[in-house]
Amino acid sequence: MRPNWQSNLGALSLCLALAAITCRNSFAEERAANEPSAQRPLHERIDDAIEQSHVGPVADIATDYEFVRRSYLDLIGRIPSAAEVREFIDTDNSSKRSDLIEKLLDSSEFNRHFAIVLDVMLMERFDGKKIDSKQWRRFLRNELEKKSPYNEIARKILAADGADAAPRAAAKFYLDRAVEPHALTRNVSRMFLGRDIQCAQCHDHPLVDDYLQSEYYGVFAFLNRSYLYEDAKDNKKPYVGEKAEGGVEFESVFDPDAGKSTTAPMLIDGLALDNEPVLDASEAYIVHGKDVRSVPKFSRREQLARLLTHDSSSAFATNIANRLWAHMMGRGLVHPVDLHHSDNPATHPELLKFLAQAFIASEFDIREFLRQIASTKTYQRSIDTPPIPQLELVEERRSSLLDQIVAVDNAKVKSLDELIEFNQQLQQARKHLATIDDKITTKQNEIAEQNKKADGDNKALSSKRKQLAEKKTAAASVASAAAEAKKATEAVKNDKALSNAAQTLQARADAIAKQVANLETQLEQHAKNIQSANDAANLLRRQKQRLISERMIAADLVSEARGARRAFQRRHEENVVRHRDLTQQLAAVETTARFQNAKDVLEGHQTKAANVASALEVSRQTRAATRQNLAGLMETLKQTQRKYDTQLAQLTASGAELDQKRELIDTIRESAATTREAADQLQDEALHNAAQTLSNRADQLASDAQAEADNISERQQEIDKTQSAIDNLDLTIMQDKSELTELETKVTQLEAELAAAQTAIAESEVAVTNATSDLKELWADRFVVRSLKPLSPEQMGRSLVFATGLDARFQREAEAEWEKSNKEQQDKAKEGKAIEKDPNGKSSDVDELARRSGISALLEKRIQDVEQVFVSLYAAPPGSPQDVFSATVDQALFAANDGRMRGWLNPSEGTLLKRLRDMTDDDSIAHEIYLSVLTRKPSEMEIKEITDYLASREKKERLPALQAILWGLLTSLEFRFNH
Amino acid sequence: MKCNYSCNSPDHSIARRQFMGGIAAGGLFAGMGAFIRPATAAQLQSQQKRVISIFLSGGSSQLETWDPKPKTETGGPFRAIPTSVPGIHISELLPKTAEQMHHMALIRSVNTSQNDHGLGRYMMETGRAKSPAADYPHLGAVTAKALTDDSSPLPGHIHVSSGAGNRRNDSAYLGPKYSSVVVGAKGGLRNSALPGGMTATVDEQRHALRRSVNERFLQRRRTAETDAYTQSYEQAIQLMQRRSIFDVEQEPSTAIERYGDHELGRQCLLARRLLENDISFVQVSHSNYDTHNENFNFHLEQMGEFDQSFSALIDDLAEKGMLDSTLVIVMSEFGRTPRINRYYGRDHWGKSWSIALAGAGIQKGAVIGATNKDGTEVSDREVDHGNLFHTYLQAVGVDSTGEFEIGGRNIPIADPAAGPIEELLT
Repeated sequence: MRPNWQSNLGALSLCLALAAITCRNSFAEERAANEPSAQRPLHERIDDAIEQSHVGPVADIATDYEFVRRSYLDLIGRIPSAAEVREFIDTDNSSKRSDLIEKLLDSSEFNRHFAIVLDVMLMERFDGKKIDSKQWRRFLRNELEKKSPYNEIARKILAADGADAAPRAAAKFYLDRAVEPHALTRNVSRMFLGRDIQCAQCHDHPLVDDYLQSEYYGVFAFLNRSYLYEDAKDNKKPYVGEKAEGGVEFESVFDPDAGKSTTAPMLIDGLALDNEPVLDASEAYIVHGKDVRSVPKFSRREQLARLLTHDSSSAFATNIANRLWAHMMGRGLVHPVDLHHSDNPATHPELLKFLAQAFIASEFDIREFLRQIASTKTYQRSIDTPPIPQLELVEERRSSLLDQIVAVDNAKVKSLDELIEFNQQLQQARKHLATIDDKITTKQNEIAEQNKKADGDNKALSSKRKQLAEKKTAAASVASAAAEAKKATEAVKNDKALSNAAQTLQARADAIAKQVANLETQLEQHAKNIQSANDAANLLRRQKQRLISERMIAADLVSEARGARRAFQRRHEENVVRHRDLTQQLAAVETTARFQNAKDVLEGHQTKAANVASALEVSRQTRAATRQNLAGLMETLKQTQRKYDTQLAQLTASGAELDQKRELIDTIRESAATTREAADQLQDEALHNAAQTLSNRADQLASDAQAEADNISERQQEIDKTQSAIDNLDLTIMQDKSELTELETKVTQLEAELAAAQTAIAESEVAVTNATSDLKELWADRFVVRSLKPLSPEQMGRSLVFATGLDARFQREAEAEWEKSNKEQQDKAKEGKAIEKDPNGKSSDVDELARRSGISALLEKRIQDVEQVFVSLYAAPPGSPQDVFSATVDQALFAANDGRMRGWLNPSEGTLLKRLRDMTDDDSIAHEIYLSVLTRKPSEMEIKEITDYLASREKKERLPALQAILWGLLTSLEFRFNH
Repeated sequence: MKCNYSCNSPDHSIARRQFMGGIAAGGLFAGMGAFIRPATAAQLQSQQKRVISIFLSGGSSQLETWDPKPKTETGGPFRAIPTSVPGIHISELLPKTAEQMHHMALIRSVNTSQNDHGLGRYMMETGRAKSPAADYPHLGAVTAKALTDDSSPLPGHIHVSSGAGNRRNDSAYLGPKYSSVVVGAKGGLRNSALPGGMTATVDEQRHALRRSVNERFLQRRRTAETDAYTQSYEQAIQLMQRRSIFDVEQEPSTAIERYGDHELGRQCLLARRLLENDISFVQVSHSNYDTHNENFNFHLEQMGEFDQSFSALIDDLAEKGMLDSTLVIVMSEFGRTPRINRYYGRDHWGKSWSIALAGAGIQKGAVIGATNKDGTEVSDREVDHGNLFHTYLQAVGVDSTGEFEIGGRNIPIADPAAGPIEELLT
């Protein structure tokens, strides 16, 4: 705050001097003043802006084939014919691309095509039928042929009222919308300022901070006096009428209690009507009355046309620069193109600002602007996405951007402070001016007061002078009467009555004389008063004069302060735009980093999975070995066990035998003993012998048994050995088994780990796919790779004609039609009189010219009929944004089954199918069809595909086969999209 | 509130992600069927819902239909008869409809204050007053956009007419995908059969060639738009295989008898056939109710046809178990004057008239609002086209206060200044 204004005047002047350097530059001149490299061509600067704001490699330059197709489509609205492609490809010249751009921009087809582009941009295929669409297109085409600057075309459209015959068609923009002020407000804002402020009609926009209701009504105030006038005497021919009165009043439906607001006509750039004259109702109109079209002396609509298209209207230039860019690139720097606002910033805010300035500097030269864009590498890039940059590079850029953003942030804060300060200074300067104005007014009032006083005295003076004169006359007559009476009295003495009369007369005369003297005194006083009032007034006037000089200085200060404020405002805006630019770059870098991170995460998971997998493999192998080993051991154990069982069985059997033997021995010994006892008792030798025999036998048996027992004992040992082998095996097996259990656990664990890692990989892969597609979309949105742009319906229709060679058929039909109608006319003429022969032969030249233009009009009509079929199927509904792509089933049904489509694919002289049918070499067929439809050579694979297909069909089916191939190419993505 | 346009909208990026997820899962052409986006629960819930609108063209008389005023100066010659809902009476011209009243609801307090045919129709069909500043989509387009799965080959918005016709321009900013496709009770759907001389084999071959060219191109670049384009051809093939659903002659003769062996009957029957095949919105028009002369004779004749076809439709939908998921609307551009003119006619009247609803989320047997004794004014619960539009959508589970995102622009689904008739919704 600066409480003491006077003491700061000096400081202000200093600041003003500093600011004066930049403050005089208009929006358009800013470029020259602020940019050291202003001399570089626009197209190089565009490439710089796009490439420098990108991290890593950009897409390659497209091939000559792609370039020729793309530039034909964008500049003249159709694909090139096979002959035109060959011509371009065969040209061996380093400037062939710029030569082609030049050739196309100079062609009459450019004017025809761009008339459609402008028409669709301004009318969105809405036809209110007040003005014939053909006339409107002709108007646009004429303007393009005349190379009118865009702002001039816009001005004609916005000022048109339909009354001037020449640009009557220009009034379509207003008339077709029935001159309804809300419709006009919305569409003027959308089409010319890039701001869809429709929502702000009833309240401040609920979603967009920048779109205010007051802004809507600022535009509305330019238009709400206009109305549709239909001339009852002339078939209701429509015109735009305008009243000289009518303001705007509005209230928010969200906040009706806030009451009504009003606004003067005003555009978003702050461009306002500041010179609106105040006219009496009696002089406000040029034409006014009942049943006529009102025309005011001061037309707000004309003022709109003037202000909106003015060089200082940055929104106007920015909008058209963005729309033309979108036409060429497939997408606006600001997208959607009718939503310019701070929360929907351009992808490259500085570039957009620069483009707008360059467009103004080129005096709104549409061709020059398109030439520059078409010459950029950015325009000429391929649709193949470039490789993704290294993470280090991305990180480096990110930190550099963050630093820059901090710096710009600081600068922004500073410039805002400065702006606020200069705003205050401006306010103070204005206040100072207002104070002086007040003083001047006071002086004026005082002067008026003095004048009034003098006037009063003057009036009194003149009336009293009159009185005085009257009194003097009266005094003279009374005095002379008194003198006469005195004389008479002296002559007729003692006449009492006479003497009385004389006395009375004398007394009257004295009284009157006194009155006269009195009046004379008063007169003197009035004269004095007048003098002093005049003196006072003069003094006041001198004082006022001084004030007026002071005011001039103050006014200068105001305008300088305004200039300074503007300069600082611009500086601040620059910071804001720079900030947005950097923020957008940062967002792009973040997306790249997100991709890198996603990729890193994926790689991490992949590495981990690989490690787990190899550990798992090792464990599985160990497990397999262990299992095998265990199986071997089990087998051995089984065999050993079997052996043990056998041994044990045998041993048990032998033991039993031995026991039996031993029992037998005992029995024999008992019997021997018994026998011996008996022999002893009986002393029977025989018995003795028998006993001996028995005893011997027993001994023999005992010896056998002993041997057997020894044997058994040996075998027992063997069994013990087997047993211990079994015990050993059991132990080993137990160990192996626990080892195996451990391994199993480990394998299960590893398997689970691997499964988890694989799930993580799958998830990361989705993340990487998403990040990749985000990145590709982002790159296309940021123009480092060419975006796929669907053909407009008109481009589709016309391209179909040129791809199939239908133009040759149409040409023939047009010629035939012309000849027929011409012959009819000639016959008619012959009936009337013989044709005069021109000796100079000029008439035949003129005839030839008429013939050619007549035929070309008939040809064009046929092509437009095809276009119209595509418009009815492929265009967005009339009156809605036409840049929204939609693919519908009925389009596909039309392409597949409609009779018209079938008809267009029938061969006739000069058409592609006729050429193809006449070719015998399948290789040439493949080349011809690819070049004609897709503007390129076929690959080996594609040649083979066609050759194989043709070979698979019988000779008599050749035509349907060729039609099937042609249909397949015409309905392909590659034909549908400009790439 | 902040902007959430395409630039930085989280919704938008999610949608894009879901779409790309579809690609990742689907592979190339083999994956056409896998292209379906993951639907949210809300979408799934409303997927089965449908709408049929029967438009009585020219402006039917509320007094000879839903809001009779017998024995009054304005009431005309016809009686009021009781219906299947005790207490509700309608015109005696609708005896069969009266038997279906327990499925239906009436709104007797519509005030659109619009007496122009075109403007009235626009209001009733779009829920907004016509404005030169902006065009709004037809109820059918909105319904189709909200209820039809993107992957469905069938058009979501159909107008049944006497013959097949061109697509109409009635979808405004929703785009041609949701414009009404005109289907004839005779002639079915345009371009849905192979052209003469084209064999199925050659047709397959040409599509194979098309796919092959596309596949090579898609290796270079793939976007949401390329997918939408290739998908439209696959959908066309599927649609051609299902073209019989547009052929009313496939219905048994008993059905034709039931609906009435006349154009309206066939159109209603075709409409039901379409709804049965999961088409989201069908409109049938019945002409002509613009009865400036002989209002009573005309209504006697017209309502006879209507009564049969309409009652058969309600009955049939209920029988098939479809009524709970199908909203049925009977509307006009406006009603007719209570005052009877000198030609025994009634003129245009938007101030106090009626419409009828049935099915989906509509209260059965409800009556909303009323008019005064002579029917010259709404005396209770006045509603307008905006309220009705919200109500239709909410009845089929669409949040009519939400927004569509179209080409990066956010657009309210219905007029944000209006709301639904809450008490009519279940």
